[in-house]
Amino acid sequence: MVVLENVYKSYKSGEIEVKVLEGLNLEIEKGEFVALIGPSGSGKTTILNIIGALDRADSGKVEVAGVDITKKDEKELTKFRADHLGYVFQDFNLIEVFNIFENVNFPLKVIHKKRDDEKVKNLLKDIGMSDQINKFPDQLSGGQKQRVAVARALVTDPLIVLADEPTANLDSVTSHKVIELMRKMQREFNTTFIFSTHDMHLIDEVDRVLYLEDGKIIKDERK
Amino acid sequence: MESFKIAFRNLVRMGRRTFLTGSLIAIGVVFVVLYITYAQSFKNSMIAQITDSVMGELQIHKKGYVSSLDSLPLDKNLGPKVIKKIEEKLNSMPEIYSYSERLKFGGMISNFTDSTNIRLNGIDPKMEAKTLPLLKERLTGHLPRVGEIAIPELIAKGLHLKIGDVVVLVATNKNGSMNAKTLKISGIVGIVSGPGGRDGYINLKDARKLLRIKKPEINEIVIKLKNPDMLQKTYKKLFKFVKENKKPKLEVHTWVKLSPFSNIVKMLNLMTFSIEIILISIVLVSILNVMIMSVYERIKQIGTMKAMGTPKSFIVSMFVNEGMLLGIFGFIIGVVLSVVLVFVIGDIHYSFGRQSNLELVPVIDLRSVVSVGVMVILISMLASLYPAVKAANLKPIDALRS
Repeated sequence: MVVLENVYKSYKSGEIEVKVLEGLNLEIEKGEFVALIGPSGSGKTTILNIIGALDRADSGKVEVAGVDITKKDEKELTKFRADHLGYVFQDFNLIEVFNIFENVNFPLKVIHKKRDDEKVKNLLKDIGMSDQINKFPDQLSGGQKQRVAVARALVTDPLIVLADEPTANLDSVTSHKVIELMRKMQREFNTTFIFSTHDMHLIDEVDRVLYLEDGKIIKDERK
Repeated sequence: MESFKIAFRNLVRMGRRTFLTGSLIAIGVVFVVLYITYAQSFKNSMIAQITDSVMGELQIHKKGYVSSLDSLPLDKNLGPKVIKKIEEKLNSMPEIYSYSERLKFGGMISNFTDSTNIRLNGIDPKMEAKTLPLLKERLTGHLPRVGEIAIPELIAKGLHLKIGDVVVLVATNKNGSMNAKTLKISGIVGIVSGPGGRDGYINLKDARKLLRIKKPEINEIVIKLKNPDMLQKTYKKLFKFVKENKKPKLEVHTWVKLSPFSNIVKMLNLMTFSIEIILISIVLVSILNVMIMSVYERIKQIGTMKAMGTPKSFIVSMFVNEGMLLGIFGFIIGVVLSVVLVFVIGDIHYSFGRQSNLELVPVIDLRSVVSVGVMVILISMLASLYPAVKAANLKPIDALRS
């Protein structure tokens, strides 16, 4: 599902070049529930951004869902993201002026030009939010917002959902609930989930943990 | 539809900012609508005064008459044959409401103790009254029948004359021979700015007798149209007609050519345009400012949308719609305020030249309001376009990092 071969990525910070990934190799199978764990600056977000076609590797091969995305232009990448990927963000990033139903429906209606209210309602039922579809994001707790964000990521049936620190702004109980929800969804839809975290308490709930340090995988633990 | 929904709800969410920006646009709209309303009323009232009480909308003369109008020449009169030809043409044109034939000349008027110069129009009172319907509003008394004269207000004051008094009129004909006639004052004519605005009137028959003209000659035909908007179209038709007439050569002029007020109209139009430019600037700057702020505030939202694969066109339309709705909001508030202000200010009384106590009745012109509305909405959309395109071109990674 995801193949990264000899991937390099560096950023310029003023005059200094910061090497983030140095010859990274990684393979993730379809339907895996993977956690990227490591300290700040270890390259978790960069890996997610590269897999998520939001950022480009300086060199190396990046194959996602069988497509070599390093050769795609911006327009093609936009379509690729819309067709194959779902995203969950640390800050939830829900559209403030849309209610819960409209937020989940947005990718379906605006990007895929489809109308499937039943699907949206079922998804909201799955995440336990069916009684709050008319509420707006500012009326929800952090955990509820993140559950809505998970539903939004799944509404277009993506092959992969990428979540960058989805629990960073949540307390430990809510964090577990969100990860449990993601796990449930991964099993229900057989979607590949890759998320980053620095919370070691969450690793019990995943199939595979990739430990990162200085842009390298120092340990690949399968459960 | 979704982009409209986001745009509208964002404006509602940022209520205070929407209100402030909308108010700024509204003030601009009020300024322009009030200016256009009163300037248009002033323009229309002055044009009506000139065309409906002095010179009509079009005039036909023998070629060269207008260029020597100051000396009121009598050697450029139109004879019976050509008058008949012109009458036939005018009678055949459905756009012409009426016309009046005049014999203009200069002379001396005396109250038997004092005398002064006077410019006179020899007229047929019925034709003149029909062609210049506002003339009766300027006139105290009535238009002159045979043996009567209507004198301008200035002369009445200068020579201490009143209706019913008898005066002597002295004039020189085209051969240099002088003649005099005693006439009774039938009316006093109020002054109007512009050429012909201080003229007196006598009956056409008396004018011919005084000037010893045996044939029914005239030197001016004043034309009133059914619809003043047909001015240029009718002018073109008559221009073609007078060009085809070789003997004698004729000329036709619109009131715009004959009256210096047309320059004031040009000035008013230029000022209206300048004020519209100010409005455009207000709308452009305020919308641009707000939309740039809006893009920066929602940069993460844009990043999220772009990450999800939202097309650029949707992001552009989201911001352009927001700017457009803001423009519409400001415009509607502006129009409502303008209507209220026009109602509160009401009629304005003013003086123009020697004319005093003129009344300006403001009428909000729907066409002008619509054109201001279209302008405001288009400029609002245009001003939103730059921030919208900037937002749409953001890289999702950069937007999400911000």
